[in-house]
Amino acid sequence: MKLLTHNFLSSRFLKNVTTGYPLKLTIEEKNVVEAEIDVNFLKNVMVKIDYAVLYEAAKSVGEDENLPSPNAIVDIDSLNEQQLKQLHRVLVCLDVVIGSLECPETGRIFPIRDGIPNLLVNEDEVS
Amino acid sequence: MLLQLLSRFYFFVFDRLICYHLLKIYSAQFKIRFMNLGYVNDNDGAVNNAIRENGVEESEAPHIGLYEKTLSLHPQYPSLNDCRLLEVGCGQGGGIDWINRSHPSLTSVTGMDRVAIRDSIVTGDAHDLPFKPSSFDIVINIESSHLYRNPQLFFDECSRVLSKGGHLCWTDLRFDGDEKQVLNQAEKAGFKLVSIEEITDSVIRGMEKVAQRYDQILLTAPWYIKLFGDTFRKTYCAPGTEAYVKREKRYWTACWVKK
Repeated sequence: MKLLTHNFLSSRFLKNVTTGYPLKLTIEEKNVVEAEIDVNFLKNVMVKIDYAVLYEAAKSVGEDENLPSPNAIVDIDSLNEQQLKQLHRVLVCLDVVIGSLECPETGRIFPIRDGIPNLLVNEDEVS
Repeated sequence: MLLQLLSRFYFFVFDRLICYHLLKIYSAQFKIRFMNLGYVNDNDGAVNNAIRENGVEESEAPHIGLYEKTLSLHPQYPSLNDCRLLEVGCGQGGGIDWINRSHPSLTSVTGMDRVAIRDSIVTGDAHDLPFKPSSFDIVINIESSHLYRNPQLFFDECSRVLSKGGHLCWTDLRFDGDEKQVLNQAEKAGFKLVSIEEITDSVIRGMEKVAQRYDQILLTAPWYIKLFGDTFRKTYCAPGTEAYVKREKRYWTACWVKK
């Protein structure tokens, strides 16, 4: 599972959950596949995601070093090479292979196996 | 009446408990990456160009044709630049691979299905999409919504996860006349219709090509798959099956914009 996917995921479908976002990420195994940096892609993706959530997810998998701070608006053109590389790494190269996602409101755990997050629940858990 | 109900129940159980799980196990062995009936139309320049330009295996061309036909109703097609796309009911993931290849300018392509077999796919339910509001710019849904227990919930969820101005690109079959229900459900969910097209004839041509391949696969399949041979043939509406002969259903493709 890419951290970009994590950025969209929510457990709001659970009973008594209002936003269910962001899901707390824990990992047991990750995989990194190198790819060429595409700065235009980074620019486009940054306006479409919640960067603070991406930053926290990267932190939870030990990949936050060199990432720009989430406290200010991240302007791709002002990032140094190391920051760009790390942003590219967490958005494009990194896959969570085994881990879990936790609902921030109920603590319900969703497993990630073989890179697939499983957010299917029993009927009696749905609102 | 009782027989009809039993038959529907059998197909419901077959879809949920047998078909998809067997495909999960055997899809790689039999190179089955798509599950739709296919679309073949020699006069559809946009679809045929996309297939030709991206180099497609002949056996997969009808399936890919249906994806491309569905996307082609999007007002910005073929330039779907900077959009985040979600496929609800992505099956084995052949469609998301194709869309990544044919539309590389998309920002992201995410698949979701009840039975996920590989990464880039999220396991989830079409009635309770596991995504935050306004996460996507395009939702695509191919030949899947007729299986949902509550299509209204599906349309409501698509509307919720789409950003304002986002598009739902949908294709599916319905009994003749039932397409009006679909239009009502989409409108009730907050969508405005961009366009709708009946594509039954092109899908029948697609079915004929697809069935030839699947019939060959069935011949070499293990005995416990052959046991369900007739049911599989009915599932892909092979020539000779009731659905193929009676043709009570029409096939539609539509695009809506979120108001």
